[in-house]
Amino acid sequence: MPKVHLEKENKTVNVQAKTIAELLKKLKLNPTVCLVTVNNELVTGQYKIKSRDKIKILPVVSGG
Amino acid sequence: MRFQQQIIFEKIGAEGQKKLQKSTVCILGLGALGSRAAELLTRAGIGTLILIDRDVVELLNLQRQTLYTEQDLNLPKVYQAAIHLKQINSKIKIKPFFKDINYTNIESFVKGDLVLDCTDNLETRFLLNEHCLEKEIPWIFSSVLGSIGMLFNIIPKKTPCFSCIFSEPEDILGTCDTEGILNTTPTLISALQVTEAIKILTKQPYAKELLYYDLWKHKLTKTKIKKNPKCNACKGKYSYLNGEKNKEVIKLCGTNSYQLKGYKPDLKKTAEKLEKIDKVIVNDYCLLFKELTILKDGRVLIKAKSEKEAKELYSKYLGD
Ligand SMILES: [Zn+2]
Repeated sequence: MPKVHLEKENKTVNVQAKTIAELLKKLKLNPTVCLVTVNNELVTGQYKIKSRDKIKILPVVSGG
Repeated sequence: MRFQQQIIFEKIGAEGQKKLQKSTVCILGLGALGSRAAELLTRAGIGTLILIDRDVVELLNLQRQTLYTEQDLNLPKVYQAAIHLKQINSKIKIKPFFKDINYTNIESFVKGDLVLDCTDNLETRFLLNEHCLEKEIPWIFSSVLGSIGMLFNIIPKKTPCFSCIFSEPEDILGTCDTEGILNTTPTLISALQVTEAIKILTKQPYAKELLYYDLWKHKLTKTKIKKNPKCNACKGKYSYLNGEKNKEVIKLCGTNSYQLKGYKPDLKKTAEKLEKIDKVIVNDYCLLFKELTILKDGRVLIKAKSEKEAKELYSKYLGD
């Protein structure tokens, strides 16, 4: 099962999902308020998750 | 002799210092990030600064907006910043604009060799992105919240753009009201932003990744970004710049306030009317009354929990 690191909460969870879009749905995260990286590269919802992928979720921050 | 120690630094040198002296940098937003960046650039010997901001200094700002003091309260940030910056370096040219930037006026004000994005909302950044793509002006995105900051260099024709990374939020984003902010966060992110600015202005290699820094965890995350083939802005489709996405009510970050447009104020007459209800403070730029700040240019900033409440307060005090 792919491991996902939630950067803001600083915790790692296991989530079964085929794509990033499915993964975010399971985590109840709206794709427009976070950035998802796989092996330190930004990916979109269509990305198909591979077994060894290192997935990170970063929050979008907008203050100044 | 003022810049001697910066010239000795091998990455800048006399040539680099000359380039900085000839440069014009536009800073959009003079809050925590922008006021800090303005100070650092002034000290570094930038020739000209264009400063743009729509707010006045509030007590809440003093926790993190290091350029301002209690003497600046209720006065426009851009004018007070200009005074302080001139005291630091009397030779710098400063063009302050107390303006709300939108699709109708961005072309007249946002210019220069480089733009620093120090705004507090995504809408303005999408607009800035399209403007800078069209005019081919490099810009540096920066943002902060809590102990987290983000930074990305956007160079038209060379790097991916802001819309390649971010999309319009369909859920509530955290704000400084709901999640707070450490005053060290904007200080660090400004330092990173100004460092990148110096690299870009002196034509040296700059950071290509999206930087995400969490000060509390002391952790830097670098993310590689590719151009998004579905990005409309990269294809020249500018929906913010052509006004399609223009909103009359904007949620501002930092003070739980909303901005409503369209009030045509006679500050004196409005003051006379409102004084019958409660205390009013008026100066040359704005009128302060309860949860309302009425600005001379027709904008009204309202502290409220929701857009609905803001509109209600607006019509309660400023409606007919
Ligand atoms: Zn793009």
